[in-house]
Amino acid sequence: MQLESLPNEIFIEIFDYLSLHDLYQAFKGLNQRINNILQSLNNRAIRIWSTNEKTEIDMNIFFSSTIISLDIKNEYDINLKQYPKINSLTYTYATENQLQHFIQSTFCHKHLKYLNVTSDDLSLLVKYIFSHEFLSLNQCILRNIDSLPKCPWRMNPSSDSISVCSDENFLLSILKSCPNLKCLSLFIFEYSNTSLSSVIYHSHLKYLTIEMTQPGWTTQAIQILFSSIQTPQLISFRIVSYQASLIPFDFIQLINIFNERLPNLKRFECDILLSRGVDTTDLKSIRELHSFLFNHLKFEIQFNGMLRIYTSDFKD
Amino acid sequence: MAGHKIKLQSNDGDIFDVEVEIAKLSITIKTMLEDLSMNEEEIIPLPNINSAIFKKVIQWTTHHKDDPPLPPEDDENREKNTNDISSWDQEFLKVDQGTLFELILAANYLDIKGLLDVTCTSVANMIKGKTSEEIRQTFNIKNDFTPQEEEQIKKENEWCENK
Repeated sequence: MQLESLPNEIFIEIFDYLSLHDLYQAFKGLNQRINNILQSLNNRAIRIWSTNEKTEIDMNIFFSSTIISLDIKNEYDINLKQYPKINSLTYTYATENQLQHFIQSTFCHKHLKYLNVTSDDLSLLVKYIFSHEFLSLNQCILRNIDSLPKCPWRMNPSSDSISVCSDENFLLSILKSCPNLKCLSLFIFEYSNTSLSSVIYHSHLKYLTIEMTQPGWTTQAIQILFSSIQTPQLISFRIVSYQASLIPFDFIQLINIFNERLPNLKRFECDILLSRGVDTTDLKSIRELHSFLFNHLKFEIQFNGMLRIYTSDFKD
Repeated sequence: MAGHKIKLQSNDGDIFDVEVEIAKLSITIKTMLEDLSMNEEEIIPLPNINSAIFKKVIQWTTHHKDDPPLPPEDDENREKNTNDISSWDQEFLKVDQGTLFELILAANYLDIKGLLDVTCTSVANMIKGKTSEEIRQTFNIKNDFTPQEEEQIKKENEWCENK
């Protein structure tokens, strides 16, 4: 008995143990039947980076119809139309050209389940992408590296409030256009002090992370956030800020917000800083405010007298 | 019930007495016993397996009868690990190619996932790192492209080069 006597289903079983690189190297141009099997594989992921290597380019094209997960590592201008099955897309560091191409590739938007974009400038995405419908998206990670002047989120440094500019309701737009979103992580530089013009109800969001450079998170900001978005199914809320706050972080107010707005919250994670001398409740009293939400909370005095309040040691 | 046996018949007529618990590692046989209510005196035919291969299957299932159940497959990530063949299995799989492929077919027919996994992994390891010419020699794979298809492949390659 020979390898070629095996039925296609067994070939597929065997091929599941091999990378696309191994498969292409081993079987390219060998046999039409095996070629057809290779091009009918399902659920394959690939990482792509700009290359002049012919074999690499050929391989990408050969397997393009089988790929569901695409991780684009650099400025490589690939044509997304070559990947009709993708439902997971990562741009490790997207260029303007790549973002424009993605925005124009509307055919793939409604099938995407996972989108992870890091870019110098997300304003293009903000302006266009969430005006389309991303019906299948359930995880979205956006990292905005260096676009302070163009970021739609603005913060008045003297204000304690959190919101978005009235003309660019970013969070609102995301939640509106992604009704099935379960996990949202936002990495932003500044917040606006303008309140949201309307309230958005989102019944699927379970995990929300907002990481910001400035100013520091306050409970007032969280209050305004959850007055603007209703996310009753949220089970995990994580906040990170890199600038120390001069305003006390009021955990009693926080627990009231959680009780009132987030009935299913199971996990609160934070990593925030309070300036030297800002009053705070002691850790023991904070932990007693809730039976489990603050169990992993820790205090750490920094070298410059700032207090870091953070959570650690979570087990999924 | 430990020690309780059933009779299984290979396609060349040999009859094997196999402990029920061991035979039930095959989902195909388990389904026959449970859904078709076959009694212990009935001989269960296995039309797709010869006695030499079935002996190997019994040897493997007997050794692995106390293994924990395999975890469910991850549909989101199809690529599997090829590094985890135990030393016993490596020894067990020191067979010629024909026997290995027949074991794969038997494992597939009998629906014994652990045996299918380890035999497919073994073939994958034979493929890994080889060039297409080495694969052609190792597995004696024929070129079934028509001249037109070969011409088309050449054209596609030229297109890639010029892109």
